Amino acid sequence: MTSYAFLIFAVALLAWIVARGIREHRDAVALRHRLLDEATDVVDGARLTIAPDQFPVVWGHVDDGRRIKIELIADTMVTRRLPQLWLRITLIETIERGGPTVGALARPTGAEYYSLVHDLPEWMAPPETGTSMLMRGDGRATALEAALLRTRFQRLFADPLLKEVVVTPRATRLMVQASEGERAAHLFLRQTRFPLATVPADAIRSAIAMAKSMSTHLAEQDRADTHQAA
Amino acid sequence: MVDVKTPSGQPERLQLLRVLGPAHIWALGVGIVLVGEYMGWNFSIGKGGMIAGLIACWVAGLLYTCVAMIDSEVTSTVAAAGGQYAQAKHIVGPLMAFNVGLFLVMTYTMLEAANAITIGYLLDTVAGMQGHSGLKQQPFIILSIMALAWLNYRGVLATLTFNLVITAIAFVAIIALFLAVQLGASNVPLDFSAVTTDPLPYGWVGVVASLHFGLWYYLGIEGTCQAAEEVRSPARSLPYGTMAGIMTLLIAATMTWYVCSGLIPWEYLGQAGTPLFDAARVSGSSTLMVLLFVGTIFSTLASANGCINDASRAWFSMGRDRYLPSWFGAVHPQYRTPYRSIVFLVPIALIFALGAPLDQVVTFSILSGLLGYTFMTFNMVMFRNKWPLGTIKRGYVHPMHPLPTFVLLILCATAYFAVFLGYGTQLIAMVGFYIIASLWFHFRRYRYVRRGDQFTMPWPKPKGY
Amino acid sequence: MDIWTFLEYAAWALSALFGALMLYDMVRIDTTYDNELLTSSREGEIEAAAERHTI
Repeated sequence: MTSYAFLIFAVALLAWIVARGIREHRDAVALRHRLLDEATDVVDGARLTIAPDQFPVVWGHVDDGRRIKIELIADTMVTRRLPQLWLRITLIETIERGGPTVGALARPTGAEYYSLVHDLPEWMAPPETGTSMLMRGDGRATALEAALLRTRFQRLFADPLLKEVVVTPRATRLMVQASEGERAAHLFLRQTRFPLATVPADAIRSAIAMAKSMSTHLAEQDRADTHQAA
Repeated sequence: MVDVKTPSGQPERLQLLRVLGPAHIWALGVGIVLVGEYMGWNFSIGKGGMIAGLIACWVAGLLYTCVAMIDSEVTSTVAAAGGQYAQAKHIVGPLMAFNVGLFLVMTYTMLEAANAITIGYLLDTVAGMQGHSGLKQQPFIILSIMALAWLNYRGVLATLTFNLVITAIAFVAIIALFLAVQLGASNVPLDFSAVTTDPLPYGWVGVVASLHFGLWYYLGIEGTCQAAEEVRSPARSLPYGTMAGIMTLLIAATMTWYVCSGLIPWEYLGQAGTPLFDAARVSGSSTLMVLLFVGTIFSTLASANGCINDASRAWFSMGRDRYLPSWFGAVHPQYRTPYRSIVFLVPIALIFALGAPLDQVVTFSILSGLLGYTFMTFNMVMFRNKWPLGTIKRGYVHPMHPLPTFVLLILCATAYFAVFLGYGTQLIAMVGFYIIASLWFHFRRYRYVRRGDQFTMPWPKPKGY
Repeated sequence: MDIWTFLEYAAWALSALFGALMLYDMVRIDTTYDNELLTSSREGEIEAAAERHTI
């Protein structure tokens, strides 16, 4: 008799845990959708959609009319490291630049599945930023271009939150750390809990500013080259 | 309580708080390691008797202290997170990194299998207490692994919030059992007469032999305390987190030994599947039994979950580094999990969980862990030789080098010998496995490895190159 | 039927269910998405994004 009672109690407890789990999952996903709410203030004509992994994606325009894409990537892939929330900014040029595709990645572990740098074919000497760096290109960079980019990257990577910068003829991409997972939750059940409700507008603004500065620098570079050629 | 990340210039007080906060101590308790108090360690008593078990517990604590010191120095200096795997890539080379990755995967997968076996055994015991003897354990073993694998596949656990009060039960349960028994709540009194009548049933060789399972109390702690931040301000002082963890475990281990050895005759204790739960049964108190039942279930499930998570990430990393076919380096577009690695490792865990007895599975896990610690000794020596003190910026510099390395190497050698005493076949099988795997890597995978990508640290050319 | 026997059958059924779910989903993902896309960084996107004006 008591064993039946105990069993019913155990099943009820399990059902409660499962129900609570489902409810919490739904709440957590709803919270996740709001992470980029402040981004709508930072860009013009912002349009928010939800990616398949339930993180928001914001498309918009910066003040000079170029399109920009802001997204979030949750990275739990590295053993012995806290989960990371990366903010990824892609600034898309209106006219295609001439020039190589080059990217630099800070503190590479090899497990950066979101990084373009690992797919570029040619290894390049990385900028000296005092931390572990990987720089790769598509092989089209001249020595001068590589050196200039290296200097530029060195200045950008002085910000320790910056993870990756990639420049392609069509776009500039930047990745910064938006948040880090709570330590206790991770150590204990490998949970991913980011202690923030929305990514602060300032963080987004400064990331966009970095992307724009990179893009402007490259545009100036191009103009200087064409002047030289002319 | 919640840490706002500030990369550097963080006040020291906050740093310590981050390391020693109560939530972290609890987290340390219930994570991957405390399960070692709930099962597995007692085989050390079977190999050498009660006193040998206690000595093994403390000597293993010394081994892990050395591990903590050595590991902290290398971890604080190698910028990229990733534990020993990342260290091996930067300091030694791809073949060593491949082996270290395998050590990680095998240690955790075997631990996962051991957890599943324990759950099956525990349910069998409870069913027996209710009058249903001979419960088939397989379906429960399989269910534990499948359910947790599925949860990890979906990344579901990533979003749940379990109340810390409920979840600290596993650590509290041990303390409660200890206190209750000390205060006389047990029907059967504590009986340490075996200490005087039969202290070392297998002599001093038994003491050495029991070191084998003494490691189980702490296995995995070097990983548990090492949830590195992405942007680390290098620690300059003692690795408080890990030391606190070892201290916590030492206390828990001694309490566990004390209660179990006092309540359960050592010949039986040496083969028990769930020693703490059995001790609660002997005490006769149903409250304690329920408490320890919940504690066992919870710590084994939490541990198995962590194992599936870490092992799959390690396999994934090796796939991405091309040490293994890059097919494994895929990320699920919706759930953001290394889904192929998770699915691949399930049958491996199942084979061992269903096909081998608990003590052998524990041995496989311990052996892989031991190989990892042995690697650490060579790694440390190479690290100090190639980049002596002063040539690169080190975070924490551990004192008295090469003493900890030396002590660690001797203790590891003793542990191998201890394993050999009674589990020689497993030892040879494991070593054979790694040799074959290394040969496979050398002949089939090395050509895909991107050597250049390994050397990303801004260090000068190593001394002697 | 004894409650424990029932639990045994339930455990078998649930294990089969979880296993099937994982395998089914894995096969679904592997056939829907290009393998390149899954093992690398969705870099098709940065080029594709530049072309698309609406999503």
